[in-house]
Amino acid sequence: MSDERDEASSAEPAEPKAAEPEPTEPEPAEPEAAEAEPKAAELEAAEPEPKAAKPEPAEPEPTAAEPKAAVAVARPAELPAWSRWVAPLVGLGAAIGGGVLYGPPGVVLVLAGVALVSVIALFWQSLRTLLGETPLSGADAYALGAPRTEEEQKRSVLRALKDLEFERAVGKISDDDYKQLVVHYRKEAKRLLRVIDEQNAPQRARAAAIAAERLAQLGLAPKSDEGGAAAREEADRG
Amino acid sequence: MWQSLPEFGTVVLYGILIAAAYTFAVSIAAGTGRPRFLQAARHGAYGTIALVGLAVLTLAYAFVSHDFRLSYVARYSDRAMTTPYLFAALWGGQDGSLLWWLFLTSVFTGGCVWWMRRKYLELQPYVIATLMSIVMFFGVLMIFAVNPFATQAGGAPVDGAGLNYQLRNFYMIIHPPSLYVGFTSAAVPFAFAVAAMITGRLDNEWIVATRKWMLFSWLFLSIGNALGMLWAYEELGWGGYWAWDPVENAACLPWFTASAYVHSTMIQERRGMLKVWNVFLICATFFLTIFGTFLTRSGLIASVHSFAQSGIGIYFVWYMGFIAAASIALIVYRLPMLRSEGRLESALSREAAFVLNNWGLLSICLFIAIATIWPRISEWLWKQESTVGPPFYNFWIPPVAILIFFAMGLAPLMGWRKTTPELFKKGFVWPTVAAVATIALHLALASKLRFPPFVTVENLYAVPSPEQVAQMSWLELQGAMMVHYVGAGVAWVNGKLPLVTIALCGFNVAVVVQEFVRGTKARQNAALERKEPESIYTSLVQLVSKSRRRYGGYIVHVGIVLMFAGFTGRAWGTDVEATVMPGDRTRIDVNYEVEYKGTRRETDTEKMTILADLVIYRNGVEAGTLSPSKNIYKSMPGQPSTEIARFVTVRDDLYVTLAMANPQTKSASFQFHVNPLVSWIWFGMGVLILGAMLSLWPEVQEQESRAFAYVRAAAAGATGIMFAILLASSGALAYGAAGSRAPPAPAPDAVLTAPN
Repeated sequence: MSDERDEASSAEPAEPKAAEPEPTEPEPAEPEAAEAEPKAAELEAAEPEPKAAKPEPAEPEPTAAEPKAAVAVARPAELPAWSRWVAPLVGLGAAIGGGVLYGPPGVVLVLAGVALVSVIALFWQSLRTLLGETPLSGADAYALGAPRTEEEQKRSVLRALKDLEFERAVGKISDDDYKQLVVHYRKEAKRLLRVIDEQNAPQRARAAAIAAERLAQLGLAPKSDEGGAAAREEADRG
Repeated sequence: MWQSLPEFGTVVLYGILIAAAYTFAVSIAAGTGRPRFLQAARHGAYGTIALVGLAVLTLAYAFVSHDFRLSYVARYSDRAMTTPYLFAALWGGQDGSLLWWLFLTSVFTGGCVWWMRRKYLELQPYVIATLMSIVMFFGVLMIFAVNPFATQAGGAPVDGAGLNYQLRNFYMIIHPPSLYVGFTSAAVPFAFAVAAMITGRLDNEWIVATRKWMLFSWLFLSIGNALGMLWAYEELGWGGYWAWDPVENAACLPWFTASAYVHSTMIQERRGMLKVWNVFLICATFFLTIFGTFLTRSGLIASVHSFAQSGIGIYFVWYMGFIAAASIALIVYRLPMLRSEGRLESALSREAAFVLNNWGLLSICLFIAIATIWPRISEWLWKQESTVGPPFYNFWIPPVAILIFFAMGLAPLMGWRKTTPELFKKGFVWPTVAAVATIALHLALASKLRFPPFVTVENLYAVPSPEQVAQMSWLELQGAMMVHYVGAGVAWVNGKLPLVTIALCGFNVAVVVQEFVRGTKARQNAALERKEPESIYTSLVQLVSKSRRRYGGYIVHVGIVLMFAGFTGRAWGTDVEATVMPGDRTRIDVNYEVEYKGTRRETDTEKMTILADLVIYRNGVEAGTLSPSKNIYKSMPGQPSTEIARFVTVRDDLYVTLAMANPQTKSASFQFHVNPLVSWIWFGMGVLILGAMLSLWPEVQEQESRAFAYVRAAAAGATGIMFAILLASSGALAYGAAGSRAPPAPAPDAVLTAPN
């Protein structure tokens, strides 16, 4: 029942001073959020691609930078945002009213009516989506939403490093074992980061090109960046 | 009255099947990489769930409007029932409980689809498809086998038969739904496992996704089983809480595999090992939830908890066969990707302790499963039905359970991969000291507390009598003698278990305390290095709040320690039967004496109650009164039911059952049970719930304000404490009536002579 990947951060030990140079790792942080946190941190440190390139699973609402496709996947298309809250409230109010007027049968009957309307609305929405009558361009989101194997492995290695820190802090591992293992894990982390970095290079170049092009449009770019559009085309080709 | 309600309900059931099939098909199509289809499937899943909700509400309407045209409504309700019981009747019988099962599965499907949103996009189509396949199975089952909207053949009666009085009980309102929640939520991890195997995304992604779902399922299986124990203890009147009934066994089987999984998953997360094992455990947990349902409803094994025998067994057999075949096929298909990334490097490692724990849990699970279906196995093998009873389970399970209990304390002392002997000894010192101190304390206080460290346990397997020997072949005799000697060894071990268990309780508590202390110290040292010193309180709170899963798990361990202490108490129990006249005093044990004052009668609109008043003396001092009773319901006058009474203290419960009261002679027969430490079980369950909720509690998002985080933490704590109080104060909450159905209970018609 105990957590094996949490504890490093709970002890918040100092960053290990091992012989290997530190890879571009974030400092061990909140453990339970490990699925999300290393990703957020590595976007800053190791993978400077725009956040839009990877819809963040843990966040409830998409940021402005996220692609429209991700937003489309998250929300029923063409339904006003307020309807998601107002409709259930209206149903609840009607059920209470039914209960006041007709007792428990009234409550149940109104709720059944609400369920029936929901069934119709949801299948109507499903069929419209299926037939292409709703604005959805989720191809990008679909492609971007699936983390690669290396990213999963990287998370695992990061957790292992955090665990090692905690185990050393509470005296469950000898210094020799600690040093041996930390070198092993860091080497593995560096390898994985390198692979991920290489995989992300085209997207990063494309993002840089878009930024350069935009800056050029705004007149903020240095002269050498004036060829942003050309760079973008180059990145796209790459 | 809604004239076409039965037809409408049946149409909704057909609608569920069609909607689930549509969503299943669209989900499979989405698996080929079509995001539009995925979005349509998500809407389809929500629509199907709403449709299931509509079916439940339609049936609920039939109950509250007393539509006795429906056979199910007529069988399980009447006009006198109050609204809460009318709703409880939804799962009071087989047809409705399957609909309720489907409803809960749908609720979890909806929760899962909503939770996934933009996560696990490659797994999503297959997760939804798997969940929809489960909905389809229950849809088929209800349409073709147990339609709750089926009408009465002879038209609607004036009034219904009413819900069984044994089910008109607080715990029976909440116990089945809790178990069902545990059972049905196990479908989500199963769906993720299937999706991971189909897509080949077998890294830690799906393990991380399913972790909390499985813990949630495990928590509700724990709550459901605990409430079942409480119901049995309060209502069945035989003095115990677990009778190894087939249905009780079926309910606890998935708990064992889920417990094994929540531990072994950590090995995969941390070391990339046991991948096949984890997939197997998830599939086995889901399979066992279906197996439990099958056992309860098929009539395969006779049980006091079973629903009426019906023809649905064959549907379940086919479905279980399909689940098993599909799971095995997928595992074999993905075997190359499920290879372990590491190996067990040392016996002194956390992996080894977890593996020991898993073996123990699976051994008990397998043992119980085989013993439960032993009547059918023996019938198949020897054409003769043979049943194993509670003594068999109580004889064989404790030695294995104590090993798991030891492994529970052992694992936190170990590091991953290997623990050097020096560090192992260092970690062991204080827990060992605590265990030795506990032993010394127990030995010193044994006579004062009357908790002897050793007890005599009889060997279940006697030496064959000369008559038996005469009929045996040489080989059979050797076999019987071997079983006798093994039994003698197990009996000897069981006789020592009270002291061993109490010592391990001390050991386990010390391990948990040590983990908290070491973690807090480590945090303080780290804070000092940063030149930002923290108080002990701050360090402790931060430690727990930042590692909720680990420290929540330790709190769960404390709950289990309390429960083990409570289970051990049964070894020191006393059972007495007595027939007394008014004014007689009866000694139960060295602590308790009771004086019988006489009987009295109370009557209300639905029943007559015969109460027998007893004055309780504890250590010679009057401590209170108890009034166990018999209820005679007007609708079922031939089936008087028993209402037990308890005198509860921290040390023990005095549990009294009125077996018989004779209004002519004024004599009364009672069964007295002194159950030491039994309240510790309920309190331990409360602690377990608190710890599990702490582990489950979601992370505070960066956007969330600190104040709200505290509110959530307070809400979690309050909920856990409320559960603990609810369980611990069970005596005040249980009400209603129950018949005597479990082991030593007398036959109803023999227990009472109704007064004039």
